[in-house]
Amino acid sequence: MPVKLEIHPEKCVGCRVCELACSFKKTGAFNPDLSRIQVTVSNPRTVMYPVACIQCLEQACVKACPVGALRKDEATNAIVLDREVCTGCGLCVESCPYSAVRMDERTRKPLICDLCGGDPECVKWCPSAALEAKKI
Amino acid sequence: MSPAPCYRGKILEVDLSSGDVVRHPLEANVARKLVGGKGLAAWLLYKMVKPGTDPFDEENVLIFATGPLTGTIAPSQRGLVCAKSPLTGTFSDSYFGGHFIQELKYAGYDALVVKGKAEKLSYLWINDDHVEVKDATALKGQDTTQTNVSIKRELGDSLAKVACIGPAGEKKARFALIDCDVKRQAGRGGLGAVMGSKNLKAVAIRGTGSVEVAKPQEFFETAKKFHRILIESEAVQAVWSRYGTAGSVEFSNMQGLFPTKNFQDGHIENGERLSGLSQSKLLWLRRAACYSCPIICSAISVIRKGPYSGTVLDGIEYETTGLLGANCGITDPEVVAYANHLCDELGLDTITAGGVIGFAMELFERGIWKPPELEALKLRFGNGEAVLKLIRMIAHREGVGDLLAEGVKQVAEKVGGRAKDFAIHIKGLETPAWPPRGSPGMGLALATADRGGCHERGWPVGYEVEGIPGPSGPVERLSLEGKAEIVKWEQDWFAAVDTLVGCDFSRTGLTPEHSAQLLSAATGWEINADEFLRIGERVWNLTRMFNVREGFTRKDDDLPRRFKEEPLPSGPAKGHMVSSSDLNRMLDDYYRLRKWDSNGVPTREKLAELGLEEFL
Repeated sequence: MPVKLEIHPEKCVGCRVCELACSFKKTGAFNPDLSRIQVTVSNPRTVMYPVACIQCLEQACVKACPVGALRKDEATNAIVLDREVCTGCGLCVESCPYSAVRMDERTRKPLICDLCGGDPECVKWCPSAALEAKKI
Repeated sequence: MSPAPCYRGKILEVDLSSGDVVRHPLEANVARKLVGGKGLAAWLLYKMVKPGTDPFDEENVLIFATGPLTGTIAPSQRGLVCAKSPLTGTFSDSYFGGHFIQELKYAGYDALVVKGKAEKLSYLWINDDHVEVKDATALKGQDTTQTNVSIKRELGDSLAKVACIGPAGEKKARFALIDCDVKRQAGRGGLGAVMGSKNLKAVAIRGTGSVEVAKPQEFFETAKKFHRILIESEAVQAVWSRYGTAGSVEFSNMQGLFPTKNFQDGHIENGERLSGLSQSKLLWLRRAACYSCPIICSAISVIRKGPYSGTVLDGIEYETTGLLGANCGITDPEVVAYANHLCDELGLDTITAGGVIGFAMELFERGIWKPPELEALKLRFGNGEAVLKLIRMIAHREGVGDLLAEGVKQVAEKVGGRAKDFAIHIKGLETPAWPPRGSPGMGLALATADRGGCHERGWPVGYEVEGIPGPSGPVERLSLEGKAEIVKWEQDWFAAVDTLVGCDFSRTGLTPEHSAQLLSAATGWEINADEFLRIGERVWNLTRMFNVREGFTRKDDDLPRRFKEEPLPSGPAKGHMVSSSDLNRMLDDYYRLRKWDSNGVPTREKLAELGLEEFL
């Protein structure tokens, strides 16, 4: 079922459990540096803001990719990466107006939310309903 | 080779005197028997710090330790820092939330040990494998938030996590704290002063490695279940989540447990102005949680009216409402919030700060100590302006602040005369906001806590006043019966949770069984609840052995005179106290249960039974 990741930053408590859940789902271990969702926390914590792909209409990353490695998956609504085709050029990272794409320097492939195939793990863990998988 | 997948297998040791950086392996038997966190830190301290070492000598070491679950999705994880305390001369461990300690583990280390003393003010930069001691002279005198921000700017890395001291730590005020990213404090025992004595302004860490577990799916699903337990528990909601720790103010004030005017009373008029409910209306901006924690006990707050308006701080914790508030005779939330903010920024423990200022107020009012500076301050209970001035003077060791920065015990010795009769500390650590006259088991817990007067090594109040059944069933509030058993049970459980460096608040919803399940799935070892509590008992005996080696025995397992000789003046436990004979009766019970001798020293049989001998 296609969904959209809705972020409600005013509800975020900065616990970063979403980062842990995401990294485990994607790598089988815990490493916030490899999470597709990143929580920005200011000091003092007046700002706590989860940042991830929100499946925007612009799709700047898809348009920016010179080799067609990114596409919108109609079944889930997620942006998906073809790792075989990706050259690691980083134009998707630069193009995203929401800073929601990061580069994994180890593999030189972008880290971008794929909605866990339509059932995002981060949403299940968020203790304050700051994340929502909205059916569309 | 790591002892189990959830460890990184390395202890990083930095000698600030020589500049040497060494990486030691985490030994398998240490991990298996002492697990991590408190156990690992206690063993390192026991091994590395010779008896009789001055806490400010460069031979003292500062240890930051993780646990086997640190950096995973296990609920409610904290960090710990440990050293020999300049307030007490005991083993001292202080715990903090936030995001700092996880970064150490992601960088590849189970613990960080800092030895020696840098020539000039420095900070340590750990970027995965890269370890560097950097110049911090430009940061001299900066408060904690400034330091945190300056270092990240200098490193050009906003994702680095910083633990630092403020001016109070640099000046070695004996109750200086360590501020840990983001604005969580390792407050107790003066470990920030130890950091200052090493000329270490801060530790900055950036880690990009992974933490693995032995049984990934089982661990993940178990942790998910435990997060749900904490979210859905009415007790967790009521005690921690709804109004934060200050949700306990009304309870404590009603039960005669709220420290009032240097612990003279257990109730203060208008105390509810400091409650969580009151703060939620007056001060709160938004809720905030520590790493991977569904309890969400904090609230970012702002002072909205009066001379301090616009100040942003983490909400006033229960302990701070008690010590900087009621204990100084103050119930104005804006004043207490600003005093809290000053302590956080200058780098002072709010509990000891409130203890020492309340003590000075009583000495002044009784005419025992009247130096001109205190006359000028009009240091009477309820004088908020004087409290704020004294906090600044203590942090910078200016004037009379230089003496107050030594803590209650040393102030009492310097002032002399009757001062010691009003000195509220245990082993040199100022008593927290759970005094024992209406809760005798709490008296035993405070008297026997390894780091001195501390409520987080055992909290019998829950059993005695709230009526939670103990390991052998319910107990009567003011009776001495069964209290030693509760204290031992609490201490072993706390110490076990502290080896994981789990937050003690999570004990409201999670049992030793739950912890054992997570630990088993993370390590691949089969550990049940009994074995888990046994680990706690082992570590508790190890910290006791550190203190015994420093000369602490039964004579030091004592309470302030006030709690033993002055009956509580009001509330449900009015007229009650924990007399010397009450305390001695409970100590006898307690040592017997612990298989310690009548002088409070663990017996050889006990140490052998716990398998501790190889570590001593």
